Amino acid sequence: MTTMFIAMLAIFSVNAQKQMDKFMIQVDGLGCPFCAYGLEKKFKEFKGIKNVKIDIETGDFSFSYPAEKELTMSDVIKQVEKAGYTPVNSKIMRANGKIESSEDDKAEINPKSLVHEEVFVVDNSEQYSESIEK
Amino acid sequence: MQKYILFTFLFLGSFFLVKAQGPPITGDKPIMLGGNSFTTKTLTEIRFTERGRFTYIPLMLHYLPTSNSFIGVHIPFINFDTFLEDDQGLADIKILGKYQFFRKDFTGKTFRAVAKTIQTLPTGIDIDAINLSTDKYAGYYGVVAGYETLKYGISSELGYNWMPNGTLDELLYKLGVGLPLLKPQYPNKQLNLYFEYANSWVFERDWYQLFYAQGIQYAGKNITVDFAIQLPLVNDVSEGREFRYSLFLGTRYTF
Repeated sequence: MTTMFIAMLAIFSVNAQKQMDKFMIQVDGLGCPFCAYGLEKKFKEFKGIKNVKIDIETGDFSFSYPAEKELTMSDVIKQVEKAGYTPVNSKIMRANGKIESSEDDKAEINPKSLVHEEVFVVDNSEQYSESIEK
Repeated sequence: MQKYILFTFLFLGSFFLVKAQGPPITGDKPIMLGGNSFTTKTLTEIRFTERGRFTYIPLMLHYLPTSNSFIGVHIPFINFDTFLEDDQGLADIKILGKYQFFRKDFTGKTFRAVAKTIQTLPTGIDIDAINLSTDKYAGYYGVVAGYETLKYGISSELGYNWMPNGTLDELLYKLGVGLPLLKPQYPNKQLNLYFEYANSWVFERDWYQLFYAQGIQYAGKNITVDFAIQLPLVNDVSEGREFRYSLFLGTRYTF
């Protein structure tokens, strides 16, 4: 009976683990341990946040958050800014195994990857003035 | 002349050094601990002067609506025992505002600058105790800048206290350095040493004072306990008004 209970508890625990997304953000501006408290406090506004860890020397900040709440990268970045610090890069390991990274987002909007077209217009003053007069 | 040279040296020197952390005992800091948070604080000062003793006990309530703005109110109580009189009661209430207009963050470091105002209301006993109780309105306008790293911090403040109905118009300049004695860790447990200089120049009375404060602070996760002693290095004031020393004892709790 006890074994069965422990097994059920373990299965439940594993399922619960799977339901959490893991967030990792590198934060600049944590110049003192007291500053890190300000960051943690701001993230406590996210009800259900767990496993908050801050390495003040590297600025690495990580936490887990219930997957069903679908916290986005943008929400996390905004919250770091609201706390008064600068997010450098961030990564989310979703409970379903998907990995999202702010570096990927940056890659998507890399200006070099964009098609660049220039349109040249030759000014013809007479035609232009005529078109205005008409 | 010597005092002007000293003042200029400290003023200019700060712009080379000011890349530092906020000494929180007698000085101020540009760092704001996240938005939407409250801090209750007290910083009792027991000031001994030629005139006698002044014990100033403020109750301070600070609120940060956002990560770059601050409002606060200080409600102080004063007890004094001078050769002229001894009494106690409410001192001048102060309303504070700060706005962070510059921030540059690096890994484990930050440089910030804030504009600051203190509106002193004439609610205290008229004992002509500068920055404690004068029963006169005063408006202070200044800038606090600081650079804070995990190894050290420096902050400086330059401001002017305008007193339209009195003779305590004052130019203030403060410079402080903080050094942590323990390895940086989080959740935080810190023991910090503070070395703070404060210049006060009261034009209308031709007073100039330079103070040095040595402080020590214990900081837990959201609570700090501070102790400091402040001594005069230059005490160029009227006869009978010399500053001897001040003791500071403070605590703060952020929630």
